[in-house]
This record gives sequence, structure tokens and C-alpha cells, in this order.
Amino acid sequence: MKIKFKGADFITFLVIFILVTSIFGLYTNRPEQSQQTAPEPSFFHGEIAFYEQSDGFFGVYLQRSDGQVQPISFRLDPRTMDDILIESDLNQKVRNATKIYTTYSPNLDTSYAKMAVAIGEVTRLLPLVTKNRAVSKNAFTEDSDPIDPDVPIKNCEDATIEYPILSFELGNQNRVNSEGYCIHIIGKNADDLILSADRLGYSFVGIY
Amino acid sequence: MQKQFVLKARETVKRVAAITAGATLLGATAMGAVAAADLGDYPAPFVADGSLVGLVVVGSDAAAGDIVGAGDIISTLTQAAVTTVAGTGETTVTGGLAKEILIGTGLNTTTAFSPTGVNDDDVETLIDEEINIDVGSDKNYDVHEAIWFNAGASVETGITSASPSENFGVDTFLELDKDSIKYQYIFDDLLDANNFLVNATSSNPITLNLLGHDLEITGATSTGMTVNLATKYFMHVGESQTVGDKTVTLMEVGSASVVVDVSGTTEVVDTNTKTVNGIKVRGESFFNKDEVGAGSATISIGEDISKTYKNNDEFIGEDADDPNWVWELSELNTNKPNINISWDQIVNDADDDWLISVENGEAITLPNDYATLYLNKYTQADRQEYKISFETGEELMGSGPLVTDDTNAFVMHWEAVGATGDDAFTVNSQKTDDIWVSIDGWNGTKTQNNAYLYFYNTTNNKIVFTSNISNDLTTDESTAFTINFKDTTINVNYNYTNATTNGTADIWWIVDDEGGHSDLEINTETSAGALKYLGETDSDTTVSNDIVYADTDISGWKEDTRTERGFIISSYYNSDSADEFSFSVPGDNADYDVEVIVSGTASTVSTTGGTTQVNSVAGVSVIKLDSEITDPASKNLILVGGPAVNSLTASALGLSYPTTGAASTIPENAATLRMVSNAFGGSNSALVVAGWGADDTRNAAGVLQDYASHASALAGNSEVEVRGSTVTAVGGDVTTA
Repeated sequence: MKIKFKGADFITFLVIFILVTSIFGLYTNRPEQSQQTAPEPSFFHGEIAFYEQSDGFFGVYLQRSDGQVQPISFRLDPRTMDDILIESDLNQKVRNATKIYTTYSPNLDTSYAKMAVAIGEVTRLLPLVTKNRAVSKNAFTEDSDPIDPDVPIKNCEDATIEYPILSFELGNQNRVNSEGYCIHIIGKNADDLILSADRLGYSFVGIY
Repeated sequence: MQKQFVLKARETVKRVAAITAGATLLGATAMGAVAAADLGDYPAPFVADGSLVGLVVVGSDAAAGDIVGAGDIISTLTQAAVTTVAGTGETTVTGGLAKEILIGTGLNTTTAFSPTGVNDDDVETLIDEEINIDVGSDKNYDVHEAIWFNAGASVETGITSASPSENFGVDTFLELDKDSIKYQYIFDDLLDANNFLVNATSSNPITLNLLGHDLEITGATSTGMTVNLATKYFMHVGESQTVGDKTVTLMEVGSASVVVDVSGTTEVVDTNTKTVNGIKVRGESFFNKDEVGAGSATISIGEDISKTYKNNDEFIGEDADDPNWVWELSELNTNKPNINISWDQIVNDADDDWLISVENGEAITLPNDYATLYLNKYTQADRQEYKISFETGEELMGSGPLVTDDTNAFVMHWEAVGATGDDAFTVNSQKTDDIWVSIDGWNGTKTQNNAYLYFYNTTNNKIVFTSNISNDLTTDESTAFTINFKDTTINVNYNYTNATTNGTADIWWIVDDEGGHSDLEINTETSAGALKYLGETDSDTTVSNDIVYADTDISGWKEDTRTERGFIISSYYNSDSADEFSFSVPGDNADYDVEVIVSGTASTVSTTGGTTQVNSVAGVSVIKLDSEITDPASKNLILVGGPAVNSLTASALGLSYPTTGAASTIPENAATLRMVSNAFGGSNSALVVAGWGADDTRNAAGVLQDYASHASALAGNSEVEVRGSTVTAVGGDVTTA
């Protein structure tokens, strides 16, 4: 028997052929899974990959010793962190704390809102780096005007291994250094103070 | 114990990125779409599933007092935002040494830190180096530092201490005698005869780096030495330190040297000690900057004066009248001098200043914070509570003619509190969570007696007889049943003794040997042939010898205590009149350890797993300025400060910014906590924390900080007024916290 191809048969064959080859092409040329899900780091600082976020923050992934992944973001560009002097091993100063006082002078000519941000940048990390998941408590370094009796007065001389002090100060240089169990976080202005706070935050998680 | 972090290298970070695609970090703002209107749910919706999904927002115009409250709120949120991870719970100490030690064990034992002590192999900041001495001859000598423990340093509890005391509670602490901890500076090589420490002079000193101090020895006897002292200062260009009557000013910083001025004399000093205008100066580290005057440096400065330390004198910086650390100096006139610093406090009282315990987390630190010793944690956390009580009128199901049914029995009840596995006891091969005990009734003296053991039969929901145990006056004790919790298995024995002609006898219940240590003994007294109470008499006011542990009568202890193998024995003092007693056992009483850590200045402690709460708030911002929020509807917000200082507060309340006074809707001399659902036109919530004044805002923040105490006052309300510590529902019930 002689098989005859009709016009309709040819069109049907052509449609099926296109469908099959298209599916095959899509399969063989599909993007790798990792390419779909893995963002490229924005840059490396030393050996550490950083991701610039849309809100201007800088994110980094840490792998905890228990294997879990911990994302952390900072305001300070790690590429500029070397501009802020810092002592090493400052986490040893707070490690055994049960409560940590975050102190500042209430009589500065500065933005206290930004002071709050600076304090928040550090205090968020304290449960991570203290043995007993220490809580923080705000305090003044001197009386306010008028005096507010409900806010404790704490200075570096009050710092102990159990109750260390994080002193947020304005000075002529951005730096972080310690005096016994008191850590001075110093910025030239309120914006810089936030960056110095992040400098301490980086060091708390081992990034220098 | 809280997690520490190990920062991984490039490839690890890449791997992590591939796994997670940055969703958690980069997409954090997408989380938390749940709106809630009940303040009683706080910290929800700002913390959900252990993660922070909210943000504290302070007004750009906040005052100093306003931000105190914001800090209080953040402190609570960081505590609430935790997740639990599972693992093995092993601790890794990098640059330090951890040992798991049984309670009651000395730190000088081989299971602890003997025979090698702690040296640079364990704590990397301890010195193991070669020093040069050039007094009589120019020679190098090997030296190293070590930390040793002598008898008198041991891990104890209130009941295992050499002086048992209830005042320690359940704390596990380090009992210390004088000289029980010792730092040693050890000469590995013998000194040449003309290089003995006694040969040192001012012109030919010997320098030792000891506990982080650079000691320049200018003279010595067999038991004392004279040294020059120096202190390290971190200074910026232009800053000064006063040393004695001299002012030392840092003038400039180079890459490897500094310029210092000592009261008018200016010189360049590098890493070698130099005397400038009578003051010793040496550069330690240098932070030089291109910009003139911007550098800083760490420099050692000391008076050019000497101090003589003799054997048993206080160490440098210690209180002369009550030092923690004292010198031990001997044989300085020999080829192997002994230079030790030893602990000089006795710690054996709960009120001692230097008491360190697992619970208080404090540490013994060597001078100059050179090394730290602390009790890190217990190796086991799981425990099961067992309770003993007495019941009347109990209905017991017997087993034939020997043990008949009893519908009104006096029984002693052993209960595994809260257990649901039906396996906390084993009695006659029968697993159960409850055991009831009755005894033979009798009159007059008996030489032998039976205890009848019942368990709760879950098939018929009745208390059913399973076995009896006999003990006579001459037999020591007989096993009645066992306590079982995870890997802990302990016999509970029955001992019948002191029978009298009037029908009374002592029956001791002995929690046997506690896994190789001591017995916990519980005394019951029969009354008319029945078990009715704990102790010698019913409702007795004296509690002598009702509860005994390791032959110590702890019946009158008002505090709970912890045993060598991790039992926690509850105070019987307050439950005596109720004839109740309880204790808890750990998951493995034979291996109940305390982790003791010696760490140096550069040690890192991490925990590789375990069921541990891990703070998860760190990854996201916890606080922003109102001016930084571009899309307030995208996240649950806690708005701190009123509409006069926080523009988003004003917006959330439907007010223009700034709005002050009565128009702010904030009650005068009070504060409001107001949960706004579907805030800013979205599906999230905003919690307004706003006071009439900064102190009022702080009071409101204080309510959130201590939300657990105010839970009932907050529950069911979307808005409350806070006046001082009083919380009042707005338009609803009035409650006071």
C-alpha cells in the first residue's frame, strides 16, 4: 500500500516537531540551579564575601560553629573599617557579662536619635557574644539637666567583669578602645559614632 | 551557653550563599505580614518564630531621655528573638583548654589539669620563648609560662563542699584554698653562674615578660627582686599621660617609631626601651597616618624608679592589704630560680567575693587579665523531677487472697512529675510513672515487714498491685524498685528498722549510691502499721534526720542543693508540714560533668551543637531613624516617641508632624501604648510608644521591657495608658500591674 501525505498531515507533523525540539532545547539549555539562586557577592573584603543591600547596608554570612548560617548586616562599609582604630579581642571584655550598661552623656550637642542607632547596632549583638546572653541597660554618664532620677549614672570606673560598660562618646577621632571592662566607642559626630559602633560589631563577630 | 561564631573563608561563604540565595538577609523586609491588635501578644508581631520581624523607630528629633526607652525595648527584643538549634553540645575552645570534670573533683587531678598543667600548648597566649640575659655572659635561655593547680582547688556544691552549707543553693562553684592556683615562669634552661637573677644590676638589668608585664630586674636576693615597672598606654597624637611628676606626650607616629615629649625633652623611640628625661618609654604598636597628627600608638611608659618585691608580697596592681595574687619567689640566687604568682584567697563561703560558679558565670582572672578560669556549663541539661507524698483513702486493686483489694488505704506515692512516657520507674519489671507503697499492718514488735508496691495500670486505669518486698531488722536493705530517666538507673531500697513494741518502726527509703557516690535517705515512720507521713512523727515541727544525704542531715536546709552526680534535692524545710519531698535527676548521673575552661587573652569558645537558644536578631537592623524609613507599611514598627519628635508616630496617629500638647492625643503626664493594625495603609502593625514627656515614654517602654509582668494588664487591649507603673486599658477595664 502506498502511503500518501496530505497537507493536513504535514502541518500536524510540523507542529509536533517544533514542540518536541523546543522542549528538548529548553531542557538542554536550562540555567544551572545555582545560577538561579546564588547571588554574586558585591565584593570581597579580605576573604569575606559582602553583599551590598538595597537599603545601603552591607550584609555578610557567617557560618556558626553549629553549622547554621547567620546573616548579619552592618551600616559600615567594611572597605573603610580600617579608618577606625580598634583594639583586638574586645569581645573578651563583655564575654562574662550578665548585664551591660550602654552609657552616654545626656548633655551633648548632638543627635540622640543617631546615638540610639549606634547603641542599637551594638546591643543587638550582645546576646551573641556574651556567655549568658547578657541584657543591656541604657545609662547616663552624668546627670541630665534637669536631673532624671530614673536613669542610672554609670561611668567607666563602675565597669566590672559582670557589668561591663559600653561608653558612647564624641571625640576628635573615630576609634574603639577599652579601659578595663569599659569599652569606649568614639565618633567625631553622631554619624561617625554609628560607624564606630559597627566597627565594634564587626569585631564582635570576628571581622577585622 | 550562647553561641560564638566561626567566620569561614571565601569558599564557605560562597557555599552558604548558594544554599540560601540571600533570601533571609536581602528579603528580610518581606517577613512578618501578620497584623495583630492585642498588646497581650507582645513581643508578637515584632518577634515571630524566634526571629525579629519588626523594627524600632526613633524620631530624628529625639532627646537624650527619649532614647533610653528605645534601648530598653531593644534589650527585650534581642532576648525574645531566639531560635533553638540541635546538635551534640560539644564545646570547642580555640586558644584555651576545656575539661569536663565531675563535681567533687580537684583541678589538680589527672581527669582535670594534671599532670601537665596549662601551658602554651593549651593557651596560645602563654609564653614559650627564648630570652636573652647578658649580665655576665650573653646567653639565650628557653622559658615558658604555665598555670598549675594544687590541692584545694575543686569543683563543689553546697553538699559536697568540705564545709556543707545550704547557702550555696544549687550552685556549682570552685572551692579555693590559698596557693591552689599558681602561675609559673619557668626557666627550661639552667642559668649560667654569672647570669643569675641576683647578678642583675641597674646597668645590667635582666628583662622578663611575666604575665604581660615587662619586668626589668635590676637586683635580686634569693627571695626577692627589684624591678622597674612600665605600663602600656594607647594614645593619640597630642594626648598625654602623667607618670610620676613627668608628663609624657605623644607628638607623632611613624611606621615603626614614635616621637614623645617627656616634660620638655623630645626624642624618637622605637620598639627598644629608651629613657627620656628619666622616664622609660618603648613603642609597642603604631597606627601611623598620612595626615599629620592623626596617628596613634600603644607605648609602654614607666617611672625610672624601682620597686622591690619579696616572697609573699602582693603582685603588681594588687591590693596590698588583701591581694588576690602574691609573689612566690625563691632560689633566685641559683641556676633555676622559682618565680611564681599564687592565688591568695580562700573561697569556701557563698558570700565570698571571689566565688565563681556555673550559675553566676564569673571568672577567676590572672593579673593583667592574662588568663581566665571559669565554670562554663553542665554537660547535661535534661532532668526529671520525682516527688514523694502521702495519700489517704486510696483505692488499691490487690492480687488474690494474699493481697486483697483495699478501698481506703494509706499509701506513700512516688511520682515522676509531668512524665508521660510511663517509664520513669521500673517495679517488678513493670514500667510506670507512679508507684504507690503500702505496708503490713501490725501491732507489737515484728522482726520482718513487707512493703506492697502498686503501679498505675493504664489498661484499666486502676492502681494495681505488682509485687511485695520484705526486709527484716537484721538485713541491711532490700531493693524495692528503680528510678529510670534516660541513662540514669538508680535503685530505691527499703530498710525496716527500729521496731518498737507499741507498733512503730522506721522505714528508710534509700536512693542508692546515686551512681557511685552517696545515698539519699528518706525516713518514714509507721503509724499503726501504715505509712502516713515523712519523718518521725506526723506534722512534726522538728525535721531532724528526715532527709539525709551522704550522712549529712539536710532536713532543715531552706535551700535546694545539688549533689555530686547532679541530683537537685529540693528543700524539705517548707514541705515538711505537708509531708512532701522532691528531687530531680539528670539524664546520666554516672557522667554528670561540669565544663571547666582556662582561656587566654585570645581564646574563642564555641559550642558545636546541643539544644541551644541562638539569638537570631543580629542579622537585621533593630533600630532606624524615622527619616530612614521609606516604606513604613513594609514592616511591623515600634514607634518610640510622640508625634512631637517622631514623624512616623504622627503619621500613625493621623496627625501632622510635629504635633504637641493636647492635640497629640497623648494623655498629660502619662504615656500611651497603642497598637495600630494595618498601619500606613498596609497589612502590618505599628506600636506607638509615646509619652507626654521623655520620662513618660520611658515608663511605657519599661512596660514593654517587662512585658511578662504586665501580661494580664496588656491582654485583650489594643491601647493602654501608662502612668508610672500603672497600666490602664483605654476605654475598657482598668488594671494595675
